[in-house]
Amino acid sequence: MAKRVEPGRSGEDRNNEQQARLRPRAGASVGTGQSHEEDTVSSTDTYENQQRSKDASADLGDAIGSQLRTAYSELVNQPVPDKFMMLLEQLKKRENDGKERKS
Amino acid sequence: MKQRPSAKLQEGLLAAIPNLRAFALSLCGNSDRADDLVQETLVKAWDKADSFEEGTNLKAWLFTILRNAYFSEFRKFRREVLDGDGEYAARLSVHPEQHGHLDLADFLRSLDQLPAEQREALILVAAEGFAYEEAAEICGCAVGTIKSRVNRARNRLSELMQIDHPQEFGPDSASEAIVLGGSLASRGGV
Repeated sequence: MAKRVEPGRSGEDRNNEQQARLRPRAGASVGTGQSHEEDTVSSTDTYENQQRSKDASADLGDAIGSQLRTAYSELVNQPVPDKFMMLLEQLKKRENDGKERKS
Repeated sequence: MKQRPSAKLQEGLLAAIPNLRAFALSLCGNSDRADDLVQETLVKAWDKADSFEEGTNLKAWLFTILRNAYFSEFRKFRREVLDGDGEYAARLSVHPEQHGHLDLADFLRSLDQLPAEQREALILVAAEGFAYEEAAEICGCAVGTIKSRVNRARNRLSELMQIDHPQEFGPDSASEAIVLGGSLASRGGV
């Protein structure tokens, strides 16, 4: 099997996320009013506090939850083969034939 | 007297197919087997239409039928026998237009290493968005059992992801190179 060719995608995501968290803090100090960028981080949060609250397991849990949803939604979005429509048509037809035979 | 499924139920069956297929593939890891399971589920649902109470959760009812079909067969054949190597990845790689399918395949391989009950609980709750109570009903077990299965599945996945993605958790390019070199060498690639 081909192994990963694009290592650390979600690692990059995490870095971006971290930058996003840091940005509003910098913005808040100069009062640019850009706090809507990251509503969950209050401007009083220190870098140390963020690091401490950035509990590794919680972070990983989020990453897994979102990867799971992404992976699963790709599965759900796969095109449905015609055979399923045909099966439902057959089941309908079977019911109809059954009724005709009875009457 | 057997009842023909109402038009509404027929519509519901049709609409549920994508989710049934995703759930079936998550359970058995083999796309042919997954489609067989979905077909079996649709036929059973059609035949048991009168046991479905209109107004209750159709998806939960269908998922119950599917997982029961899967686990009754699972007891006869071990999953390892049915499961082809990298079947998820092979199936998904035929859709190159979809973004990130390599990561998806990796992730599914990790998911694949969970015990069936944990994988099922995780998918139902975390991916399908069923409430713990609904998932418990689908699986025929206690709510607490579902909660603990989901937790164990999450923890196990965390471990597996750490193994799969060492560069994310310990940025050590030297050991990464050794790992990559080793896997290439073992394939006779270098």
